[in-house]
Amino acid sequence: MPARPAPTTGTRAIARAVDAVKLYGFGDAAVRALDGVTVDFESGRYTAIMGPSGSGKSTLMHCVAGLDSLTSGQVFIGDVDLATLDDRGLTRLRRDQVGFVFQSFNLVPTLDAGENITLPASLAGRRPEQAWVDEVVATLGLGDRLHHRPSELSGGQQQRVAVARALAQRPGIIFADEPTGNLDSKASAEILGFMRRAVDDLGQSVVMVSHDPGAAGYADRVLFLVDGRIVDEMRDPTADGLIDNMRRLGE
Amino acid sequence: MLKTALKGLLGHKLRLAITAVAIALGVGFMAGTLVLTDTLARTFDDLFARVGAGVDAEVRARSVVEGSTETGQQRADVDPAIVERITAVEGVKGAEANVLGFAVPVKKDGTPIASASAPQFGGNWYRLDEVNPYELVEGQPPRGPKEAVIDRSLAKSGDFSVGDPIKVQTIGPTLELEVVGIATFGGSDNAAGATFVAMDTPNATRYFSADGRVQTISVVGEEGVSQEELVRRIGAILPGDLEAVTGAASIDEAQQESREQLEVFNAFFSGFAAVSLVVGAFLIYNTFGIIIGQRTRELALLRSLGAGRGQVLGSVLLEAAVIGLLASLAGIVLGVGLAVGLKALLDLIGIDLPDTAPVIAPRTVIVSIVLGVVITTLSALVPAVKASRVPPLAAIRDVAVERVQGSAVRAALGVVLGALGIAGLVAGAANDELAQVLTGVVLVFAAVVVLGPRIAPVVARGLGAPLPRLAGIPGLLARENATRNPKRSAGTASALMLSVAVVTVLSIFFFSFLASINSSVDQDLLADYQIDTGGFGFPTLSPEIATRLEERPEVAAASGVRFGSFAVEGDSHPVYGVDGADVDELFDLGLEEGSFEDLGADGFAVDRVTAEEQGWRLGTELDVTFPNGTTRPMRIVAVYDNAGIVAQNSDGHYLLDNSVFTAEFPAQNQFDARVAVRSAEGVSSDEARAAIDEVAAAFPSAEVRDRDGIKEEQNSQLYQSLGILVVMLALSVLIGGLGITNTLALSVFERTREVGLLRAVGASRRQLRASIGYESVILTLFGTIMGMVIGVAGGAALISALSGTLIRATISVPIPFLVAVLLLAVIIGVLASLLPAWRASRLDVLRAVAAE
Repeated sequence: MPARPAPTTGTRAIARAVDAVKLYGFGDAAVRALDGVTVDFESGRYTAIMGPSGSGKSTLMHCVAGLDSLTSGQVFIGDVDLATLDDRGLTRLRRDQVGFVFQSFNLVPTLDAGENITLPASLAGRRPEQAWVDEVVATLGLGDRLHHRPSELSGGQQQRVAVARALAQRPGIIFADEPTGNLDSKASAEILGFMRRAVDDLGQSVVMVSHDPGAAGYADRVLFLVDGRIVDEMRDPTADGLIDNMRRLGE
Repeated sequence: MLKTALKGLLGHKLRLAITAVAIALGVGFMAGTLVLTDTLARTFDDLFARVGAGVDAEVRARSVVEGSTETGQQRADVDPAIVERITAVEGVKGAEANVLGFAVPVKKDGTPIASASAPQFGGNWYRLDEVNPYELVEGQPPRGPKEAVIDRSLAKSGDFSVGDPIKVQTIGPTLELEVVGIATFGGSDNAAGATFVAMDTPNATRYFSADGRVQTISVVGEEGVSQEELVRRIGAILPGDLEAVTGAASIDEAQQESREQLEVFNAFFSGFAAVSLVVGAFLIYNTFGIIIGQRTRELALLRSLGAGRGQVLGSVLLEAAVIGLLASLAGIVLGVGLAVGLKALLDLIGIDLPDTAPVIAPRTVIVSIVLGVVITTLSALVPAVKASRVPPLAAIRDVAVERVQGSAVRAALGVVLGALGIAGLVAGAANDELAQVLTGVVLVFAAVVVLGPRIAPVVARGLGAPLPRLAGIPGLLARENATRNPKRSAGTASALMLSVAVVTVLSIFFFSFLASINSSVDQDLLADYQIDTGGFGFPTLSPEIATRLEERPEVAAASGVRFGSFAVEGDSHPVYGVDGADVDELFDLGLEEGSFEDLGADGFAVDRVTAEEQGWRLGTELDVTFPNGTTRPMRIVAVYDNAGIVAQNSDGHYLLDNSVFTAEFPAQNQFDARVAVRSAEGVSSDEARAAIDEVAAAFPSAEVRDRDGIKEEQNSQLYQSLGILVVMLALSVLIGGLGITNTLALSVFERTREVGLLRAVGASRRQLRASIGYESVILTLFGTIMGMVIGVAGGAALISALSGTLIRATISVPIPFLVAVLLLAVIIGVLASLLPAWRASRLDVLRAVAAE
């Protein structure tokens, strides 16, 4: 029985995994994608998960976000154990308490940018909080793009719309899976900057998976995952420090 | 390349299975029609072969007037005195007269055993075993004026045994006979559903034949005399108005005639098969189009690895041909099942056909396979050409979203087709040109198909307009998805559009026909009552009925209606017989010149259109030939507007007095099909009805109807036909529904990532299902509404074009029926979405999000 790790700062955990194990396949062919991960994600912080390909970083994020289920162990969002939720409960959780930014294909192509941003609220049958949405749209500089379809937007603009959608719900926690993986460096810096501001100015919590030290450098805390285990973490990282650390872990 | 094609096939088996079902249904219809008609043809061939077996020669009157499909062959009857002279011819072993009249047996409780589907014969029992197709299974042959042999199915349905009394209604008096024998027809209980009452030859001639004459004479030759030789020898002693033919030739003629009648039946079912196949073709075109869109990368990879254009084209076409082949084979099996089922249905309604195994002619198999394969391959041709144009570079590019270019050629073609089609409809309706109207309908349909990708987004957007407000995001998504691939939406809806257009045209035709005959009864029928048989349609009412009615003081006028064929100046025409003295009081024919009272023995009446066409006028004298061979001059004594009310909306261009029918036509034309009656002034309807009922009571098969009853009877017959049509067409609508399922399934597959994304950001399974359901309903409604628009225009033009033939032509758009079709479409739309919606809602969110 692993002890619950003490929070490393005074902030409360918005999401946590306890002894999370995820197996793919059976018997000899089984792959341990997560091998007993226990971790807290602090509220109001920007956490990055780094690791080489196949380290299990995406799997960890998917499981914590309620997109995938664990083989054993527990995942909590707030105080809710995700294992106790059925499909309807998970759907509601994703809609109301979690925001997503994927690497690509973030937007419904038949809806315009504005409709995409308010999509979770519309799905819930709620009116979006207009003042908040306006603020988010203004922050992300999307005011003149609201009636454009995704196909009429650049890659960077599409990701900004995705970030706006994640924020529009005031979800508590935003999961971002390689959000800048398909972008050039200028657009990447923009998106990462926005997510930083979401944490600093708007009080959101962000968990981001990335293999790019430059991107992870925007985070407050970086977790290093290798072979399904957390092997290290850094606080207030610098890009150089991260590169060194990655090189060391790769050896 | 063959291997690649086959692998491609296996890779999409589920999607293609749905497509194959569509083709299989179409081919099944076709194969079923062919098998059923072949089987029926074989059955009737066997029947006639059995009837004619043992007959070496047949003697009959020469045919001088060509019969119509309604009247059959119009040959004069034969004086039976000739039998003795034929028997005396050297080489003749025996000769036997054939009496084939009408006889309706009456059940013990007094109700007639009426057949709605087959004739009811009264005939003579043959003494010569060689020519007798019936075999006694009980009792003995009939002898004298009080004895009868009946067929076994009659014995069963009327509960008659040997020794029982039986009442038989004939053209004259109702006979009270005794059943002395029970017979079977070549092992069957009856002859293809016909009822049969036999007496000995002299009495059968006397009671069943109107004029004491017989229909034909069967001759059996001595051993060693060929049929041809026999015919030659008999021919030598026959008077000029009679002829002898060999038994083989006579069988052949009868078989030929029955086949011609089956042709109508064949054409009817082939029509449905054609609609189903065209609907199936749309489906295939659509499915291949989508699949090729999805396989662009795979095809491009093949191209970059060195596959030539021809090879890609060939592989797609081969894939289509294989599907066509498999579906056709399934269709043939389906068709045989369909034929067996339909035959069982015939048995059920009392047509006891001899058991013939389903006839699967090589032609059936070949036609089905060729049709299935050719239609499938042709439908895949355009998508295949598109596939062959995929550039190798597309392998490394992202799959492009379908772009609809506003092709100017397409738009121009559509507009031209549409304009020509509408011109055809309008001109056809104005000029009473049926062919123009039908061409117009086809052209308008083609125009809508061509312009479909332009029309679809506009209409679908309109249909979906209220959805976002009513159903929120699922509604919005449904509307957008229904309009995002205009070509695909239009193609999918086209299949349904065709089915619905055909349903609509037919329903308008039917309901307008109904309205027309009802208003014709209202306006043109002056009679208060009508007597008919409600039976098979053979005229079987005794002329006695009209005569007796006229004697009643409660009756002001009564006239039987007969029909037959005669020739005017050598050209044969259908002709109707009425009582010239009373016709004016019973029917409003719109008399323009002359008087029906002058009809008599030497006059006839003609409608204005025919008179104008032929350049005849009142008083014109013309040579008229009757079935009995007489040709004599007759005068036009009346010109009228329209005799649709007499001819019941068929060809009513000529009228004769019933006395001419009695004098010049064979026995089969001496019965009345209907008797119209008008009650006398000052007689209450109760009194009149009582008097008519009293007369009719002596004739068990006669049914008395008042004006409402006449309409009811006609309407119920039409409703039955409409019912059959609707069931058949519901099948093609169903195929259209399958097409929607297919397209949605493919679209959902294509939108895997989008679906995953929606789920990730919080769409529930129900919302996804609802969205796909709405999308399906939009597509279904689009197809249905377009089909209805075409159908209403086409149906209205059709009725207008028929206004010359159809008396009191009234265009009736059956709103409740169309609303029902629309509701049905919504239901089909919802049902069509179930499977794809279920699959979408079960999609693994993570796999969808992670899908490359």
